[in-house]
Amino acid sequence: MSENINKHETFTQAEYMVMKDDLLRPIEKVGKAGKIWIAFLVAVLLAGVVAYIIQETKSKYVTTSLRDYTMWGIYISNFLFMVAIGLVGVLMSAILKLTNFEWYRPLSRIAEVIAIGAIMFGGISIVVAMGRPDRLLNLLLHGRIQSPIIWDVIGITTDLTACIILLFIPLIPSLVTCKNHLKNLPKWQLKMYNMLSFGWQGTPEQWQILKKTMKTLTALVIPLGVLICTITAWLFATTLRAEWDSTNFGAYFVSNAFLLSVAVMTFATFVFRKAYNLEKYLTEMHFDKLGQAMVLMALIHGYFNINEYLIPAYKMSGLHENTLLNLFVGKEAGFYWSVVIFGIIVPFLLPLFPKMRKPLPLFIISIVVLIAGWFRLYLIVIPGLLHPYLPIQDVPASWTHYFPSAVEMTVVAATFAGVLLVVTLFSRYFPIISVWEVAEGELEGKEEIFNYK
Amino acid sequence: MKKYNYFLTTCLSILFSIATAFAQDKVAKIALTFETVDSLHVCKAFVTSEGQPVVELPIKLSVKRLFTKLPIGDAVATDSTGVATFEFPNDIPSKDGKLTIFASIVEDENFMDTEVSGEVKWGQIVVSDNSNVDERSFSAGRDRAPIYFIAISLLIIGLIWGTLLYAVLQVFKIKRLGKLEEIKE
Amino acid sequence: MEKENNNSSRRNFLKLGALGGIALAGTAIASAVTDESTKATGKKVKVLTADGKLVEIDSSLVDHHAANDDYSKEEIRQGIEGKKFIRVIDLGKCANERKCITGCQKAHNILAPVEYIKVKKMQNSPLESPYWFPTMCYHCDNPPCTKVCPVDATFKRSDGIVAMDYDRCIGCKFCIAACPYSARTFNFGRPEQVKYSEEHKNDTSDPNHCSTPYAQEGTVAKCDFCTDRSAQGLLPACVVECPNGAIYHGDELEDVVTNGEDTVRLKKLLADRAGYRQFEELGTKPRVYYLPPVKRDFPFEDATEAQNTKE
Repeated sequence: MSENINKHETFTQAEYMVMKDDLLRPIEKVGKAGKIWIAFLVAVLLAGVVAYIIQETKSKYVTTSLRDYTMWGIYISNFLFMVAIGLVGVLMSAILKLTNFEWYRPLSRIAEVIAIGAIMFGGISIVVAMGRPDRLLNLLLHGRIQSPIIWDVIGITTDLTACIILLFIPLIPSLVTCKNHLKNLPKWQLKMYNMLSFGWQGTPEQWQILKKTMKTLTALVIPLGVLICTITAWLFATTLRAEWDSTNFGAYFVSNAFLLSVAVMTFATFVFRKAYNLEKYLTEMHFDKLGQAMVLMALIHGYFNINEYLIPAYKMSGLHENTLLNLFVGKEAGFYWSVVIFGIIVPFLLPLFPKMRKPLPLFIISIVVLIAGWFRLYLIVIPGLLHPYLPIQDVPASWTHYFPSAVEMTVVAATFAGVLLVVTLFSRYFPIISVWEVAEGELEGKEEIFNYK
Repeated sequence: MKKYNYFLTTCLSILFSIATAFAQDKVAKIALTFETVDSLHVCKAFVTSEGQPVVELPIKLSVKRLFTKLPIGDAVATDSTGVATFEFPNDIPSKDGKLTIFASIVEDENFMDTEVSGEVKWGQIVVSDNSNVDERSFSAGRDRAPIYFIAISLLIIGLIWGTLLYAVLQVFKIKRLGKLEEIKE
Repeated sequence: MEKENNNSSRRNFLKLGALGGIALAGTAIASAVTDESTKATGKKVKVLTADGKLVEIDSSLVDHHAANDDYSKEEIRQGIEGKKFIRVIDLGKCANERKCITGCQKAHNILAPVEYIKVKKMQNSPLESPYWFPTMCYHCDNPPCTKVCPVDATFKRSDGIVAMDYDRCIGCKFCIAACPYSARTFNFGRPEQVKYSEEHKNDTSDPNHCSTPYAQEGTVAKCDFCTDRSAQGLLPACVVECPNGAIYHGDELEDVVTNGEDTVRLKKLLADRAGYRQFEELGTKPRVYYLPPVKRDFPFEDATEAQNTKE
């Protein structure tokens, strides 16, 4: 038994030394640019906190653009976006891992950290949108299991916990590496590595437990991730409003989340590759694969889009006419078609060409897709609210349209800064690329082995 | 101009009410009797004034409801013996079968407005169907969620959190194994 | 229920104790128990003295604030027994005079632009003639709003009313999204309204005053069928104020609706005048019926100006 296990956990010393130097370097010293970046993120986050305090202490009628018809604004559409991004952990780590796509190895931890950050700030977005955040506890005291909001609360906390555990378990061997090889760090940091490494010795039994638990959790987060995406879609699909009354909605949201996951992965991979000089590990091959995945996901999402919009449009029932015409040829048409072009057609067509699957072009495409993706979710929430069954009549002008206020935009910007901050800080204290997983992948089948303890 | 109009109408209405008050000075007494003949509910109002039966006087019948009184048919005039006979419908719903029935004289030229009432068990008993509130359903309160739904939810939550707990326990197992290893060394 | 009663008595008693001091409370109980002049109910309740002793005294001696304790709140959640409130709106009688709207706002101490009852101009197709359509919360028998509420803050009562618990609502606004009739409104804390609500907190001067308060800031409000007035047999403000008698309010179990002037049998009215419910196909089973706008009392006159424009 032990022989079989040993083969996987071991690799050449020379290779390993180079690798750990490369991958641990970002932790050793933070450059000037890195410091400015962190300061910037903290500033934006604080601005968001201040904006939120303003919103809560002053009248929401003044500080936000929310009104009776558009009572869900960009907070909720941003929440949808965050949950969608949160699926990256499932796609780029769990699915690839379980289906033995070896190129997942250097990407998996990046994906998991983004997922945790996004789900965390998704949850925060919901609380920010609440009228009475002081009564949050009522969800526990009086929670109704029949309500999709309760499903969402349970789903998000569960998924977040699962993601954190799944991030932590493969981190244990890496923490020992940090402890053993990074000496010029503050004492508390080394102490933290020691404490979090849970007495890891790298014995065959420990490896066996680690791998087994990882596999179980990896299998668990796939349904969990898909579930919270779907529940989020159900927040809309369980209502009687025509534009959301769709049996296709869960699948539509999940396909959208997969597309955005590929985009956000591309984005993060490019940034880490440049910022931490990780070209050797985050190779052009990864971008090639990500580009291909993007084409596939855009295709799937496009397919669900046709089901979601064009089939109701073919029938053009009185109930759907209202919203659909507004999106296709009405006030929101320019918006809608740009989202279709940049959010579906661009990621489907452009990465078909190998030249577009090079790092920089794909990075630019991924940014376009992410922006379009954010607005796609905006287009699900706001025009939906503005086209109820009974016409909106005889209300003040500000009730009939929606444009987010400065406070709302600041808070949303802060949630983005928050996700980036979580990812950045994590990469400053922990190896963002799993040293042992990469080493294991590269060493598959080699004879010369060295237990790296 | 408007003020003047208002003044004029007030004066006229006062004059009118004085005139009618004089006309309506007679007091009529109504006695209500209820009888059921061949499952037909009949309500009789016997009207007298100064000991004499009143003839040809329209009497209105109504039944008490929560907000207002529901008129039963049109007004019926008293006959030569001073009795107005009403056929009372048997489909007037009531919680306990009891109905409060009113007979009244309203805006008559000669008689003052009068009203008498009587209680009788002529109502059709209705039972409040609260099934949509009492039943376990998705729209009911938290304590009335469908059993199967609670069971499935708890099962799913339990399975997932059980797995998570298992994972955490595994981490501590790793720690224990590490300690054992240290001792061995 | 007994237990809850005890709890509330205990709470009230403790309040008293805090005010009067230990000694005072102790003597008060001693004298109260022996005092023959107080009308005893015979029902004993246990109360906790400030020094931790459990004493049994007659329930009549305990100051009981019905409006503030959980027991009565639970009662509020149940609804008035043996009633099923219902409404019929005769579209042929509505001339968009907006008296129901202003009357409702006054009765609930709310300011425009918030409207629990709205009047919309409807026209089903170009050849059909337009008509005025008063809408409000339909108090559905299969309410989509209570279905999605995460904390039971909106609930269906046995008397047909879909009520709101403003003390519990967390302001997620899911019920607003779920309502296909856009009947719900959210208190975003419009400064004028906040000020007005504060000033008119105890204002019951309006003859149609409804004791259901306006939603607290950050919670959802809607038409409540004037719950407390209905319980007392008083008609809601919109019914009273309508100059044309377009709104009939009543009790389904009594089979009667009234607009204040005319009182008619409900089933007969609906059968004779082809009553219908809005969006029957949604399956919400509204408790508000409409009579089609035939036999109109007024020719349709379009509103020349928007009324509710104040921000």
